Amino acid sequence: MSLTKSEDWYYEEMRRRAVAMFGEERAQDLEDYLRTTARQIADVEDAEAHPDLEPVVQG
Amino acid sequence: MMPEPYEFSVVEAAARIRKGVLSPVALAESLLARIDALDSDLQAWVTIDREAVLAAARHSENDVRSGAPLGPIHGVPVGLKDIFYTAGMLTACGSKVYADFVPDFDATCVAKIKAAGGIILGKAVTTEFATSDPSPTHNPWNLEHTPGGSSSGSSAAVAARMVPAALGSQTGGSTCRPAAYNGIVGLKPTYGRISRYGVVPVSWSLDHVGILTRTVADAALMLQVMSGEDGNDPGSLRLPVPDFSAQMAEHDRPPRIGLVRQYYQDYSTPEIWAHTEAIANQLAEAGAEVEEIPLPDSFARVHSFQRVVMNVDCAAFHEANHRTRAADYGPRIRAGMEMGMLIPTATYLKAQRLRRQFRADLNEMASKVDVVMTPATPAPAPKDLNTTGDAAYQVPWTAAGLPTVVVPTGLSELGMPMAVQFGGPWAEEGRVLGASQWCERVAGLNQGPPNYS
Repeated sequence: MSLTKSEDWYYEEMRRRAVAMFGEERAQDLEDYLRTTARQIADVEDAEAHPDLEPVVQG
Repeated sequence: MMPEPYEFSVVEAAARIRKGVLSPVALAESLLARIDALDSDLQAWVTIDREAVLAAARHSENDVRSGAPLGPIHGVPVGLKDIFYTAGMLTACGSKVYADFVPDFDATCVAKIKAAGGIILGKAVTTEFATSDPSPTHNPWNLEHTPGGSSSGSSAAVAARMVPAALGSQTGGSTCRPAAYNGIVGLKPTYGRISRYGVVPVSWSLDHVGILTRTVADAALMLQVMSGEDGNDPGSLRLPVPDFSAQMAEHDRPPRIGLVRQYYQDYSTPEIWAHTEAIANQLAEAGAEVEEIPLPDSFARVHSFQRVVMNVDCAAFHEANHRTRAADYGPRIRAGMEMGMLIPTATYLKAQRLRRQFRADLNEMASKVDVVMTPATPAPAPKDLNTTGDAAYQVPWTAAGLPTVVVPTGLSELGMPMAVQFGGPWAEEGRVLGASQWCERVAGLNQGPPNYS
């Protein structure tokens, strides 16, 4: 996912994958969670990380 | 008038037992009777092996009489959130999925409590797998209010004098938030200070063992008992264990406090923020040097990257059971793990990279003062049993793995506890505990729930 994707784009992508994994009915149940998670993903992806910054593996 | 044994703190009980003026059996019986009297209201406990408790107490008493070497918490009962492995004892994690799970070994921290002479009083109620589906536990300050979570039973039990200390855990805010809601002390140490081996995980890189007590000194003692490197825990801190009491004594003086207004003033209720400022003024009048400090820029995304990491880790742990037993999970944990299954791997790793930057930034901010001070929660415990409350003020410190202590400091207009939270740099628990103890003495709440203390 590129840095320029919008929150709505992430939501549509998440929903498409939710339907594929859990079915349409469950995806509908998860609507609020999908919206919230799309916002969180967009927030993370919108941030700049220094190229030398390695991920935390243990806290 | 002589206090009832159930009223003693850990430090008081251990000292009296050592002197031979308090019987471990009398203490255990007093706490069990207290549980019998109160737990139908509070629903803080899930499993208690009464005979095992009394047998352990008799053994402790014999050790005192025979002059055997005594550990630092000899004869003192401790409660465990029901996610800590206990050999031969049900560890159901508040879930149908683990309803019959009986571990065959003790979690490292449980073994350390026993080695220090402590007695396992029982397993306290947890929200399902230490996440956010509410538990049946009630807040002893007002039964219509949430006790918070996920360490619901541990917190309510300590507040209601059913046990002097209990273990919780914290992945978001699950120790320090319920501590604040129940008017007790909560300690979340540095990540890895206490081994998580034998603790059912939510998120391997975020989980901390937490401590719930009624005094800061008790929290320090319990930290001393359980700290240390553990080869079975890959996240275990590779540092010698300091003498926390000595460190605490060194820092038990008017501290230099960094008060954070940014974000916290706007996000808190007016009552909570006014209380926090009043406590800061009270501490300043008693000699503390209080200055306002800014948050690092990386703070802005901490709640997003913490949630991304938590949901993915939770999904990874539960994936196999989700395939066959999804309907047996509560709605919130199930939805959270399903979100974790949908989050792209690259986003997860980006979240962990942002987290590393944030940890460095928060550590730098905390290193400029003795302790950072914020409200402990945005509002007092909500009058709503369908929520565990808001962990917003714990999440940054959990994501950074830095130590925090919550100290109860007052009551709201509705009579619910309010508290402040102190945070410090990496591996500086002694500094945070010392400042917290000083604050406890200057501005501590010093009372329990009216109907349960």
